[in-house]
Amino acid sequence: MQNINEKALAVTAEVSKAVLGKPEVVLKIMMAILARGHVLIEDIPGVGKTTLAQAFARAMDLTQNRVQFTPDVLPSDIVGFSLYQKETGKFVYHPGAVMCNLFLADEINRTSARTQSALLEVMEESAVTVDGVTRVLPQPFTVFATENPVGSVGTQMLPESQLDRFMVCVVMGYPDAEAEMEILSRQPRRALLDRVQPVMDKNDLLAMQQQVDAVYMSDEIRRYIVELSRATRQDSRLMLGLSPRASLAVAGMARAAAFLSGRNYVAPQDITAIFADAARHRLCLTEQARTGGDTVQNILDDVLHTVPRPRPEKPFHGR
Amino acid sequence: MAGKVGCALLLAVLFAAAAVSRTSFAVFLVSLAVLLVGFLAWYVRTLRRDVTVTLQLPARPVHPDEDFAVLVKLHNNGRRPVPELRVVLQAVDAESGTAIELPCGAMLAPHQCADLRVTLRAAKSSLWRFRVREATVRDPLGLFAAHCAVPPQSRELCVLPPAEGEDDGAGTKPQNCAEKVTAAGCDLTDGVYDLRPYRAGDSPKLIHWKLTARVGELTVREPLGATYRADPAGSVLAEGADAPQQLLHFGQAAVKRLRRLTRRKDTDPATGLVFVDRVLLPRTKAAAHPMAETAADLLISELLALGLLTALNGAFALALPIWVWLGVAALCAAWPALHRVPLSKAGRYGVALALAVGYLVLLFAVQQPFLAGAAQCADAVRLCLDTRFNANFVLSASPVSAQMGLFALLTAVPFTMFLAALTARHTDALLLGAVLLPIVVFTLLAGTGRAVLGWLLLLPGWLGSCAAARSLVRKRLWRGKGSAVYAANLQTHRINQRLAGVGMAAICAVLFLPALALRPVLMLPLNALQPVTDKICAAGLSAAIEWLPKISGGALNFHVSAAAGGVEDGSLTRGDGLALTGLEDIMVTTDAKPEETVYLRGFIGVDYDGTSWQAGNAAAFDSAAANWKTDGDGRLAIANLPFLRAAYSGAQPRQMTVQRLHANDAYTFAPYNAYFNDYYTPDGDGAIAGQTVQDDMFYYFPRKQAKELLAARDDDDAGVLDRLESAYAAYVRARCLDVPDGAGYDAIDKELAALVKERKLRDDDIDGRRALVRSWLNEHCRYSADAETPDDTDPLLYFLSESHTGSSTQFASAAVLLCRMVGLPARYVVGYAAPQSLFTAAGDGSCRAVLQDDNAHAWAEIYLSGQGWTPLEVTPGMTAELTEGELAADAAQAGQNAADSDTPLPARQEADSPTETPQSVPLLWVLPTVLLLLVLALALLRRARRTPLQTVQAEFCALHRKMRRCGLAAEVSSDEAAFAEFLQTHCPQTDRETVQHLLDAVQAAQFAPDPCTAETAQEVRALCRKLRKKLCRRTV
Repeated sequence: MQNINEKALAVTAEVSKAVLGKPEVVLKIMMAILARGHVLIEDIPGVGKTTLAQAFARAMDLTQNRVQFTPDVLPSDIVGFSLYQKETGKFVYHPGAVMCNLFLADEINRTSARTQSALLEVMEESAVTVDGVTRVLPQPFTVFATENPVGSVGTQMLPESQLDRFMVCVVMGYPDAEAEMEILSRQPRRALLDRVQPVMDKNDLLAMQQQVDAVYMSDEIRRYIVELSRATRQDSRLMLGLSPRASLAVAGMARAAAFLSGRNYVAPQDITAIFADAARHRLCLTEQARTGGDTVQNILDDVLHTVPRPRPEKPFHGR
Repeated sequence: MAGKVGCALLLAVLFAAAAVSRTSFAVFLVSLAVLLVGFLAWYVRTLRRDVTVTLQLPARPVHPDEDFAVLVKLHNNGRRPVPELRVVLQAVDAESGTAIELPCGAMLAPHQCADLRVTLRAAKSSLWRFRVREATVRDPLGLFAAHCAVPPQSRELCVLPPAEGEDDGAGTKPQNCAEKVTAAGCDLTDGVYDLRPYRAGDSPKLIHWKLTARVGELTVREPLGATYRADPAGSVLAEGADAPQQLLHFGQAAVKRLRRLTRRKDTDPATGLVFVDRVLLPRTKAAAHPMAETAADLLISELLALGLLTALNGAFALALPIWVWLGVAALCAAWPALHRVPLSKAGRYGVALALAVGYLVLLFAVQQPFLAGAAQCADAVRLCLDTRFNANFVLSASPVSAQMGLFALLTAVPFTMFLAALTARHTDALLLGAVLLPIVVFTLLAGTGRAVLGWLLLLPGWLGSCAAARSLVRKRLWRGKGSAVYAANLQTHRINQRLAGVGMAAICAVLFLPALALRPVLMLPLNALQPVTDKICAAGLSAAIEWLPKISGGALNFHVSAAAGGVEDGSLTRGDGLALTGLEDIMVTTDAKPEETVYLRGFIGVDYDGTSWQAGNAAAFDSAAANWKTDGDGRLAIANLPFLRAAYSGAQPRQMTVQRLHANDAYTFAPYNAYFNDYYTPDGDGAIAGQTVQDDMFYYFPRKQAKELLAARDDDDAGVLDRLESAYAAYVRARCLDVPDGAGYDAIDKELAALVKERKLRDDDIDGRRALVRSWLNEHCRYSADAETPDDTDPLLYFLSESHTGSSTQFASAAVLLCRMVGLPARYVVGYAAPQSLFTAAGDGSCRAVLQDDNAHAWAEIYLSGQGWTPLEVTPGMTAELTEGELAADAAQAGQNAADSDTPLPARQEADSPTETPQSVPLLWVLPTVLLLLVLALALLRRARRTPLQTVQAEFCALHRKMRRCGLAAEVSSDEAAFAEFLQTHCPQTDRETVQHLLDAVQAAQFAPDPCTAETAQEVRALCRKLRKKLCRRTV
């Protein structure tokens, strides 16, 4: 395990060469990939979302496709279509953009609801069905979707039910001054990406995903996750609390975090580290809370603060 | 758990019996039980160190549908047998997390090795982790369990995927499906699952419905290793097969319940592991000693039978002849011997039938004496009940020991057979307990407790046979009858049984001595409980007295004759009776409120026989009375003498009705100076026998009034009554001045004579002598309501010369004796004293008092010529009832005493406040000490019983507390960086690695899948203590 764990850390190191100054974001995305989840990056254009996806694809030797979502992108562009071939007299399937290991869906909120749902269905099932034929997507399969929070003219925001399908929502933010200077020093721009060397292949990733699934989670930790979810459901400032799927996402992310820390079990700090990222995009504030100045982030901080954490110095009785 | 509950129950029953009966044996029994429980707890803790458990798996991976054996190797390194060893083998599927537990039982003879072989078969390819989850040993009685050391690490066993071409039956279909899919242009090698046709037993979740719809045949996904994830329906709950994960979102209770339901105790094909077989294989043979085993059987059954017989004989005073014991001993030896005679099955039944017929014929032949013996035994039991509860059971026959012996012996035949069968086969401890426990409790409650030898025999036998029967029978693990494995297991089992049985009996016998030493400690709480148990007993008896006649329609008239607060008439020792507080004995109605305490005379004792007072010799009195030439019954004339003489003066007598409620109906309770008509029969010179012909309504003169009347009568009137009186006075002088012989009495006699001489009392100075007696008693003795007298001593002498503490019975007896020594004729009276304050006015001008059992009283009466019998009150606390003249005499005497010595009235003051009992002093320090020791022992036990995880937690908690005291904020958790930084900054010379190592170890102990090992616990403990010390130094 230690060995594979080192490989995963090497991937993050490689990606960090291209995406400067964002080690936490890189780590969280790595966790989501390890936990077989999909990533929603909520940010403005030009902070390196594409670079991030490409860097991951390179470092892990994965095939990568990118679609810039616009209002005229159709579901068939994503999942592929069958075309009649005159020579053979048969319909031949032309694979869509989604037939890859790492799919970057840029500005997913700009396209029509129909296309969005087509993609989300693919994400959920890991298979596409065109003309009644089901085709299994290559494994591993991860979607990086980006969403632009400003300039909402002509956008279709993803509804909560669809946001729920992303395992984690990260905010990249601007790089700090030094990192930006470093970026500027690299010309041409591709040079940053060229520094990324493949350190593993997809079979390694599959093996790692298995390892992550095998990470042990004790009863106390599970109870802790459930208590956190229940706390969000009972919070009066939230219209929607965390769904069971969200709890699963938290559990998966925590497993991946523990794996990256080189442990074969989940500890409380894994939960606290990833809880906000896994939960942020799934919560919906009430009108009163919104006008009262509450943000999702500070509610999550409150929840983490109030729910008693399993601590070895205050052992749970009746374990 | 059940064992502990049973043990607690047994202790509670014994303690209740001890509390109610307070016979010393019951207390001894409880002491022994306490010691035994402690011993067993210790024993089982040491026993577990002798056992080692190791796990052995097949060295190579196994194929599906191939049987493989998991061996649990058990080794007993010690010399003691392990009667019960329970091993729980756990198998966890590494993929799905499904846990299967296989409980197995075993037993080990001394120095024996055995293998538990569990044969399993894997149904599908996966990785199984096996470990011994726990191994528990139990003590011979099954009360306590302790965990043995088990290897902490789990061992893995890989079940290979099925080989190519093996799947011939359905081999074509998957290819077809794959063809269809690949033809459509998708690469299956990248998929997470394989596809194959549906087979019976597949989970419906695995069915690929979309494909099924297309192909037209049920098609399922075959997961490829751990990558299998969700089914197409996208249901969240179906994610993975790990049940606990699914349950994340339910309430805690539901989670627990569902987890319990999903945890499989046994295996089945659905989990992928099929249980095939379990067998216990003894690797080394246990050493057999047939002679020793027979001796063990014989010892236990003899102990049981003879112990029970002796106990019953002693407790109910059956007086069985010696040949009964010999017969029972022979029977006990005969049954096992008969059991070992090699006979065919038919022959065995024939012998049994012949014996049964012979027994019945014998029974028929001797039925008359047998039935008589049974009746006599029942009588003996009733007699014990009578004396114990003052009940009035009617006894029929006088006992003949031969008949009783015959009955006992013939009853013993089936009973010894039962005991021998139980001990020879060692089958059922419960049955034995069910038979013996009621007998023991009944005997304890009803019997007299003079059966110590019997109990001492019975107890080791009982515990021994319980221990032997507890030895675990798990024949399912022994293979079929007739096989070599079965024979070897059976031999181990027998050896274990006998060793456990005899060992337990021996331990019990050894514990007798410390139990005796423990008895006084246990006696203290029992003494403290005494008022409560008395109340419970009294309430129970009162209910029985009230309800038994109603329920049985008058057939069962459970009548209590209460006298002198539970002390039998004339008896001086407490404990043979029961004080019935709250029970209403007598109702007294008078025509006017009395001005003085009303004494109601019941029993009158004249002769002291060394243990109790006896009524006067009726025949001697009758012959004496015949010479006194009275009209009618001379005895009645004597009894009526004071009344008649007072009535001659023309004074109007008072009227009193005495209604007997629950008082002893052997007597008529009558006031002094009363008139008895012809229906009353004086029982010789003394008590008036009880009668039912008429109501007890008396004309009487109050004592003060009678004294004045009698003193003022004309001395010259030498009538018939005077002659009678002088004759009676002579009779009284002849009879009521006897003092028992003995050195102790002589010493007191001399002391009193010296006092009389010193005070220059004239012969006719009756007041002076009376005051002398009273002051002597006040100086030397003090009052205690629950003074005890040891067995086999003269209670009166013990009171006068040793204990100097006693109740009214002792005071009254002593007063009688002392009066006789100073020359006053005196008698001992038991009856009721109704203080003036008890009388309440009724509507019709009369006064009424209800006397309860605690109004029962004993006092002395002295004969004054011209006055007749007059009560002499000496019991401290009753002195308020003294007349003014008596008080003045006492005061004069006391003044004289004060002049004589420098210590004025110490005894008197003590006597007036009988609160401080000598027993309360040790109680003050013994109870806290015992409690402290108990708490200490419990704390130590808990500490020693900690699992490694608990040790780690406790040590880390201690460290955390220390850090909190040094200024760590409460909300900083150990998984935060601030925690480690705090430790580093506050503990000098501590590097980051040490702190991180400690935190990792603690976290791993709590959250990691592998159980914490003892080594880790040791390491964490050492680290924590080091850090704590460093923190200490800094704070200092």
